[in-house]
Amino acid sequence: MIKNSEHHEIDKLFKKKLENLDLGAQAHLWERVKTELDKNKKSSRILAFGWFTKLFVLFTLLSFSAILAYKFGFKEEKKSLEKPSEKTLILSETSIEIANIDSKAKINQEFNENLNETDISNSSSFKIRANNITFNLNKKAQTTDNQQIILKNKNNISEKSFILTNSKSDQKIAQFPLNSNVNLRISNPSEEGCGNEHVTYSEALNVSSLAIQEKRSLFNFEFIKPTTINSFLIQSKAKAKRRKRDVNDDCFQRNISPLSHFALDAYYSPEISMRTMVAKDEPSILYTQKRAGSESYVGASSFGFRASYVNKQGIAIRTGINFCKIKERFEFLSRSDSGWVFHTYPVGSGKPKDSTWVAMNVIEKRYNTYKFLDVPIILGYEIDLADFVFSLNAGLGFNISSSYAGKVYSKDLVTTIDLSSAKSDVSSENYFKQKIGISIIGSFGLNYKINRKLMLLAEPTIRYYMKPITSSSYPIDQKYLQLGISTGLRYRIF
Amino acid sequence: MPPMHLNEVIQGCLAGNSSSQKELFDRLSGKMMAVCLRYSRDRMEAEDLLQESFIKIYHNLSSIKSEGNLEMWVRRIVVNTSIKRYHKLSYQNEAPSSDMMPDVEVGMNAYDSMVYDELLSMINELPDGYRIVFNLYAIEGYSHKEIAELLNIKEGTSRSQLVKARMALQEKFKKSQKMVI
Repeated sequence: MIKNSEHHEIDKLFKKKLENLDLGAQAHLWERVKTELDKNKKSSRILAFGWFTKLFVLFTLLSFSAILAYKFGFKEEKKSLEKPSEKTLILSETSIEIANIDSKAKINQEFNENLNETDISNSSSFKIRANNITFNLNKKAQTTDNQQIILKNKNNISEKSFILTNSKSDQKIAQFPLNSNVNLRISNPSEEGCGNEHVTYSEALNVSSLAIQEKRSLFNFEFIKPTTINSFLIQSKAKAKRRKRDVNDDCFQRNISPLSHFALDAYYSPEISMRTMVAKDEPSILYTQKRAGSESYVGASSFGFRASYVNKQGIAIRTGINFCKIKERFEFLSRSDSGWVFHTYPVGSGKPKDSTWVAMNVIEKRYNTYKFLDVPIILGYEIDLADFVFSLNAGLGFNISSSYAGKVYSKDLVTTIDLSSAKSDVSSENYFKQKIGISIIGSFGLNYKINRKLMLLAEPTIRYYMKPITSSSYPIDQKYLQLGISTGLRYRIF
Repeated sequence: MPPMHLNEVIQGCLAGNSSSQKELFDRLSGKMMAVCLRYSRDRMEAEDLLQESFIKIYHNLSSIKSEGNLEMWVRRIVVNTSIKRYHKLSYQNEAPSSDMMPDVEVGMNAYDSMVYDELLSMINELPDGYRIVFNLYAIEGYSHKEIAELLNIKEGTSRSQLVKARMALQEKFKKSQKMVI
């Protein structure tokens, strides 16, 4: 039986020998610990930027899926376009009379009415009737080019088709889908060959008496010559935003829409900034580690304006101005202090309150900002799809100004230096450059056409500054790589 | 290169600096390995325990209030990690063998000259439940009530485990004495 007095002896022996036992640094175990830490760091880094990476990948996949869908979908549409229309009719000059109708006549008066054929005085207009609603077209005598006839339907026509009728005999000439672009070729059969006048009608939107409007459109160029309209060829075609020259029929030409245009962009891009710090020599390694350990990424963004010219082949050249800002947090030892630390134990533990005088260091944090103003010069390629434009861009950015605010540790690892004013003692050169040279820029995007003039931009971008922001007299090379998603608007000027 | 101030080491670890983490490991792993050996059955288990503890230390370093309490705080993490491992193993109900009852009273003063590895070896050989209670009571200084809360056992169980641990150690001392003779 152990005596009570010996209980304490056993305890005391083990406590004395083992409580503060130090077996020395377990260096052979460090690699295992480091591997585990690196594993955890990688997964937390992925988690930290995971939302962005996932967004980036998702956007890329969606873009390419949409491109494939539109390409295959468009191919089907193109096939139907290339098929000769079954509704093509070539009419002789006697098959229709073209009437001149008071341009002020309201369409409401013409509901369910047939116009008096005697009102037709010259061959300058004709009727298109969609079921019981008749649209009248007037043609003014004019000599200028680039005129467009717009057929508008004020009433919501629920029927599915337009019917073109002979206004004299009321004979149905042609029928084509409601939302179709009708190419109307007006020609004089007495002339040799075929004329090249043609008129294009957009989808019916409002009912009105029509007059030829002088309008120059980006996509539609229509020409009407002041000539007697004796006959016309009507061909309906399926709705298509993309127009191509029809090479099969010399007498028939589709509208050629020049794709070249100028545009202005305004965009904003939230970004992730990846920094590298490399020591230039061995003595600077500790300083590099100190700086890398004390400065952490907070956020980055850029915004800018851009002008683009895109030619018919879809090749684009873009330039503008880009402003980028990177924010980092700097934590540093501000000062040492000392004070009492009180230890308290659970009630009933039997241990008294205790206090010790300890030295404490005060850690402060500041926010550093790095700002860059660049002029990008970018070459791009655009594929014009139905509702989207896919674009691929690559180019260079020329830094015209860089500015910095904040502090970092100095080479002595204790004091701090100001980013904006720190200079080399030897050469008086600023440690942080005012101009950092060239950056490589790349982006791709699937931009949505809101209407003919406006487009919504969404383009993942990458920008890599090729040279460090630090000068040659500074012992660390500090560089940045930016990843972002540019969102904004593009306005087509002409 | 001058040694880094402890606070700089802590700040470096908080920033994820690898060399600071190694510095902290070098400074504390010797003492903490001794703690781990006391709570483990063998060296391999102790090394696993040390690795697990240090990962927790680095992850929770931001919660330390003052560098003056660093060692105490780290030791507490190691002990808590040991207790969690003990719960996983669930050997609390391990019964002592009957030959652990000493029949000779032996004065403890005679064992003052024993070196630490002999004592560690004795502790390692104890059943898990005895070992952890003995460590918490005799060396870390917890009360039976605190031990009962930590290990989720009854206070009476803590007391009986301690008695049995002492008996077992006493028996080992006796055996070692016989071997010497």
